[in-house]
Amino acid sequence: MNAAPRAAPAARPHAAQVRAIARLGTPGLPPNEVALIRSLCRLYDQRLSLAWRVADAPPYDAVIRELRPDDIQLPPGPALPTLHLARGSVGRQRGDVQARPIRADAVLQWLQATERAWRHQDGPVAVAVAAAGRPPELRYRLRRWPPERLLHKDMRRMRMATLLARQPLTLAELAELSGVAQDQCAMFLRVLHASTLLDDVLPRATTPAALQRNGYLERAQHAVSALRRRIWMWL
Amino acid sequence: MTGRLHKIVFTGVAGAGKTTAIAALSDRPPVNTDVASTDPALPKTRTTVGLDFGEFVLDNGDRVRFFGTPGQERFDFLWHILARDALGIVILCDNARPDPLGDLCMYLTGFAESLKTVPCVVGVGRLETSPKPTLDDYAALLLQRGLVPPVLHVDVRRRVDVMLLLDLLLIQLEADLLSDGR
Repeated sequence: MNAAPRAAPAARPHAAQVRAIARLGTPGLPPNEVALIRSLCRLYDQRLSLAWRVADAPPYDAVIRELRPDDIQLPPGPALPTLHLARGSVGRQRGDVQARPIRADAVLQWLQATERAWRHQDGPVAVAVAAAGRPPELRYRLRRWPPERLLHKDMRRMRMATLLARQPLTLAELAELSGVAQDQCAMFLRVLHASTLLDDVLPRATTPAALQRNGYLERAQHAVSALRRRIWMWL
Repeated sequence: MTGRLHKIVFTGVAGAGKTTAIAALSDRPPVNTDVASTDPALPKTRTTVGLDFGEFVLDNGDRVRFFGTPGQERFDFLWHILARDALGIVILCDNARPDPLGDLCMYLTGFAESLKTVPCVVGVGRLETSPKPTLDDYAALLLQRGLVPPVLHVDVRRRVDVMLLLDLLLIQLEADLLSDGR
């Protein structure tokens, strides 16, 4: 997932952080409605955890489309959160169906409900929602090595867990060192948090063990880059 | 000869695959001191009584030496010598042994001083045929000792597994360097 800078609301001093984008699809909708939805995303930007952007093409994270979408081809994969637009009145009140014309408040409610639902699910967007509002300088430290069911024999997860066990790291540092995309790192952090395997560490709350050893880092400094190149060559 | 010397230590019980792992990394056939095993408990005909030694040369001229410790506890005086100034320690466990967690305890005790600072990774072999104890059991034991190193299933006959062990050591060094710089 891409990220975009976020304006800082007064009530959230740490909100000037990297913010994840949610891609909103509008397949089959007329251009005037697409333009309206795009405007609503901008209008309500401060009231949403994610930076919602109307995407011209898949992949989407959520979709607004006609109630009868038989003729609209959607990307394959799991069902996306969808707001259906109906022509005429909607019989039974449903949060995911809205009668035309598009009502701004209903769109906002649906976007917020979608974010709430994502908080309780796995997935990159869900994680971004969960991470929203957390100070970017917050560091995370692993309490114990994760159980196998959380690692899935996934080399990326092993690398992230290894890093978090070794030093308290911010999300950005974890992504940089592991070479794993930040949204994937955020997802893993959420999984670890949910399993109470992770501690939040305030900046500079600990003295790195590395600083306590004589000459160790000096030796490592000279070897690490060359060793890394060597491993890449082998792999 | 120019360049710095670095050292990575492989330790573990006899038969855990230290010699094989070092051979996978070394630029040249590793020097080993294997002899015919007279221990009927060992599932192989040769075992290391001294130490294994392999080496590769980095593109900056530095050399990385891999030392495989003799597995038997009676050689623990050598463990301390080999671990001194090491960049990392790889502990290889054989899950088919009668008491693999007890084996691990022996090495955690033997290398306790080094493990306070030096990056470590624990590789467990033969999990497919001997699923107990699980990797989670290993992690729990390590936590009891206040350690949270990576614990993974490896088959050191597969070079990619040996690379992963090395990668997880290296990434710990990178984390330390980042921490030192901030």
